[in-house]
Amino acid sequence: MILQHRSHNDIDIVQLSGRFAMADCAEINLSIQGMINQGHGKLIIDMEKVTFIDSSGCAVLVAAYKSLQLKAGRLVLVTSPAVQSLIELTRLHTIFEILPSQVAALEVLEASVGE
Amino acid sequence: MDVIIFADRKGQELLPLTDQTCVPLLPLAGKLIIEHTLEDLADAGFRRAHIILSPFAEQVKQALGDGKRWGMALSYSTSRGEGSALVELRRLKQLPSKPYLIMRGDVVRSRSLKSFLQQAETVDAPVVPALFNGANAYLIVCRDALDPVLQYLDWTASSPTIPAPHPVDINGCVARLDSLAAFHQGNLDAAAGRIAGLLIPGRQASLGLTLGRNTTASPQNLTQGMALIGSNCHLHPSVALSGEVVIGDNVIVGSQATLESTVVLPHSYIGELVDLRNAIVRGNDLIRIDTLAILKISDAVLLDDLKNTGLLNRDVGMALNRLAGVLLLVLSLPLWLLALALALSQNRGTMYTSYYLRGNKKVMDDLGALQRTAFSAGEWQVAPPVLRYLPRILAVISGDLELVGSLPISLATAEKRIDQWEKLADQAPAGLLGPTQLNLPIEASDEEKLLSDCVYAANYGAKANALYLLRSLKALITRKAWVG
Repeated sequence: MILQHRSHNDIDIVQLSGRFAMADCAEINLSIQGMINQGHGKLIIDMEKVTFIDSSGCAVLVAAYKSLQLKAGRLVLVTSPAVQSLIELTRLHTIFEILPSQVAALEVLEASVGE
Repeated sequence: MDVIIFADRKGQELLPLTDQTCVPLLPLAGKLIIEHTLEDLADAGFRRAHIILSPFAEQVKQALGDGKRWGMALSYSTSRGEGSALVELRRLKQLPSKPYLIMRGDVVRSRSLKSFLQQAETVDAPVVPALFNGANAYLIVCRDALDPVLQYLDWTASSPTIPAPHPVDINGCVARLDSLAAFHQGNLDAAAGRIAGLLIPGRQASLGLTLGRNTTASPQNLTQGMALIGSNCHLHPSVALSGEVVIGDNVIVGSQATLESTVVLPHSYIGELVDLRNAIVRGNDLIRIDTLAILKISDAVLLDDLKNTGLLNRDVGMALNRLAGVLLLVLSLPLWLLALALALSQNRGTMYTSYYLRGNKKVMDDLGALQRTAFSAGEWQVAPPVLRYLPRILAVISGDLELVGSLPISLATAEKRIDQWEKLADQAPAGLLGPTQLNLPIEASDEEKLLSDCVYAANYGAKANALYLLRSLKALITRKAWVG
C-alpha cells in the first residue's frame, strides 16, 4: 500500500494505491487522522488505484468520516471498482460522498469554500 | 436517447414497509414499483437505462439484473439518497449524451411516455418537463445537460409545482406514493385501471377478479367490486372480498376472512374469521389507513409472515447447531480443566467473570416487535483466547449463539447502531466463531469489528460457515489462539 499526501487550496488529498488491507490499516489510519487534526476539514481520499480493500480498510474510511463530522468537515472519496463494490456491499454509499475522479472531487470541495 | 432513472428515495415516509427493502422494490398491483417504469421505457423503444440507487441498492440490482427481461441494458450507480438531481448527474462517471430522458423510478405514472416524447419534440426548449393533468410527472427531456429545471426531479416531501418554462401537459396520472395512504390508494388505483396503461399480471377469472399463476380462488370469493390476486395464493372458498382488494404473491387467506379495500403484501398469512378494512397487511404488520395505526400482530393465528415460517428448516438447523455445541463441549473438556488450572494459578481472586451479550433468541416487546434477548456469557480470566472464551460453548448449546456467526455484542452497543449500514451487521446471527472472531485482534476498533460483521452479514450462508469452521479448527494450532 502506497500513501501519498498533498494539499491544494486548504484541501488535503490522500492518494492510496495497491492493497488497502488489515496489515497496513493502522499506519494509514494514523496518517489520515493526523491530517484531519492538522487540516482544514476538507479531505479527499483518492482510491482510484486501490486494487483490493477489506473491512479493515473500510473501517479506516469510517473513522475518517466520523472525525471529519466532529470537525464539521467534509470527506469525499474517489473509488476504484473494487472499492466501490465493498462500499456498496456494506451500504456505506448511504453515508459517503463519492465522486468519479479527483478532479471532480476538487471542483466540489473548492465550490464549497465559504459555505 | 440515454435514460437516467432516479430510484434513490430513502423511504422514511413508507415505514415500516421500507424497513427491509426500498421504495422501488415495493409491490404495486402485482409488480415492483420500478418495473412499471421499465415497462414503459421498453414499450417506448428504449434499450438502455442507468439507474441511480441508494438504500438496499444490492437488492435492486439482484431483482432487476442486467435488464434483459425488458430487452434493455441496465447499469447502476449509487448515491447517498434523495440528493439533488443536478448534483447527482455531475457525480456520474459519464454524463449522458444530449438529449436524454431523466425520470424517477420510485413513483408510478400512467403509460404516457410515448405521447410525452412526441409532444416534447415540438417544444423548442433546453429542458422539457412533463405534467400529467397538471401534476409533476417526474419526467424530463433534457437538451441542455445541467439546467436548474432538473430540480423538479428531486424528491421532496411535497410535490414541487412546475411553473412554466415549457412543460408539456398531457392526459395521465402520477402516483407519488409519498405516504402509507398514498401507497394503499396507488395499489387500488393501479389494480382498478385508474392508472392507465399499466400491465397488470394475471388472468381474468370472472368479472372483476384477476388471478395470478397457481392461485386457488373462486369467483364467489368476490362479493362486490374488484380484486387482483397474485401468484401462488390460496383463498378459502368462504373468503369474502369487497370494494377493491390487491393481494400479492404467496398469500394464504383462511376461511371466513373478509377483506375490504385492503392491500396484502406478498408472503402474508391471514387467519380464519379475520376482518380487514382499509388496511395494508405485510406479514404480521397491520396498517390501518383510516387511523394510520401500525400494529404488530403477535398472534400467528390471525396474521403471520410466511417468509419466517420455515419452521421445519429452522428447528432442524437449531437442533443441529445445539448438537454441535454439545459435541464441542465434550471435545473441549480437557481444555476446561486447563483453563481452570491456569485461572487458579494466575488469578486467585477472580477466576471467572460473566456479563450480558445479545444472543439470537427473540421475544416480542411491548409494541409487538421481535427483539433479540441478552444472555449471560462467561469468561475464564486467562490470557489464551481459546481458553478464555470456552464458556461461550454453553451459549451455543442453549441456542443463544450459533456455532458460526457475527461477533456477539452487548445490548448497549446494539442500540448505538442507527444507520442503515450499521444495522446490516444485525442481519447475521451472533456466533461463537466467525470472521471477526478469527481475523481481528481483540483490541481492534469497534468500526473494524462492525465492518467485518457487515461483510459477513452480506455474504453468510452454509458454505461460508463451513469454511469458517474449518479455519477455526486450523486456528486452534496457531500461536494467536494461545497467546492472543
